[in-house]
Amino acid sequence: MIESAELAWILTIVFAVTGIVCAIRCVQPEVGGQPQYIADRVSSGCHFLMSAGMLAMVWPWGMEISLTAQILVFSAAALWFVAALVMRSRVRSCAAHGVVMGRAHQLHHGLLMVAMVWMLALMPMAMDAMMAHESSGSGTSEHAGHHEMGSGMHAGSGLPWWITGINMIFVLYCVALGVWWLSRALDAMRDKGKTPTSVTVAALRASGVDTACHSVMSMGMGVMLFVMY
Amino acid sequence: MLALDGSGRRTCCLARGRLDVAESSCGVAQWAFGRSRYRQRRRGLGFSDFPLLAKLTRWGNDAHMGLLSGLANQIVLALPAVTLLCLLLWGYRMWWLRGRSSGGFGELAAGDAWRQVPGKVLAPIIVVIVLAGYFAPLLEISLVAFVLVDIAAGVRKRKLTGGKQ
Repeated sequence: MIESAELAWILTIVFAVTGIVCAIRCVQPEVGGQPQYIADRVSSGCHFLMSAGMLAMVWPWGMEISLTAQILVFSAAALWFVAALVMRSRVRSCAAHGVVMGRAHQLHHGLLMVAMVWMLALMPMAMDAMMAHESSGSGTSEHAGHHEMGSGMHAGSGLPWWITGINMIFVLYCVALGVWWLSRALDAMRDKGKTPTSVTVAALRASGVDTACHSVMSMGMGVMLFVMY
Repeated sequence: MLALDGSGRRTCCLARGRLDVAESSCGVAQWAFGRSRYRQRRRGLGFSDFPLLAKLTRWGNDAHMGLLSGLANQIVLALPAVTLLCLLLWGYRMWWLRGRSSGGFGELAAGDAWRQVPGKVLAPIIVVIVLAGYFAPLLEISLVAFVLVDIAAGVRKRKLTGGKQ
């Protein structure tokens, strides 16, 4: 849950847009002139669920969704991308940009799913830490104001150092990956970079949209991890 | 402001130039730095009582005004200011030289130039701009307006030239 209404709405719009893009990819018969296989649809479905999960996490009603069910779903999604990484010759995820990015692409998706599971698994601990932090000597109006002005519910001070450390590694990874994906998206949409000659302009454009979507989702996850813990 | 007050003590307080001047009973200081801060001071609330964000705001203001750590702060502030002035002057020089090479007085650069910037350079810049825009949205409005106008001009130019730059 994000306490800052402004940030909550920004993240809601971000994850709504990425969710819509992934949902469209799920039902499209072909993307950028290339056919969509079942594997592509499953990958897009995983990303749709990820967007929906993070959107729900932003608001208080999202706390009512079963954590165990979410952890199971996103663990399965992580395993899916690991399988896609291992069996890439048979399982081609995201046909349009799969040809551009290859196995690293699957690895990053898998790691982001692991980050999602990590975020969900830590949520009860972070909530407890935040409650303890707020009730222990920070009940003044000044500190209440501090939380209102802040981005979210920083509970980092109440968590063990190694959890905060791992969390910061995930945050840096998400942001760095988001920047890298954004650079690929910009190059793809402007027909720059090293691309196979067989890849059509339409495929590059579709690749650009997909990669931009993943970039935004990755950076959104980085922001969520940063402000929630 | 200094000339309004004849008292040496008050003048000295003001000459320090910091917001701490509200500590004095100087009426000018109250006027200059707000009565609420002065009253807060009178009630015994000091800087150490401020919450973290208020302290950061105060430090940020002092740093922005070159009052935080004396000369070093002022040099750090002067560097980007001088750099910005140099960029402005060089920009006009480039405009003038382009014009001379084409026989005119000055000539604008080809629009849409940012489209030639590689993604690995443009992406971090975009992220930093978005981040800065979250914290200081008013600063971003002029930049966003400029980029939108540039995009519109570029699209129009490409349509007129049939997609060729």
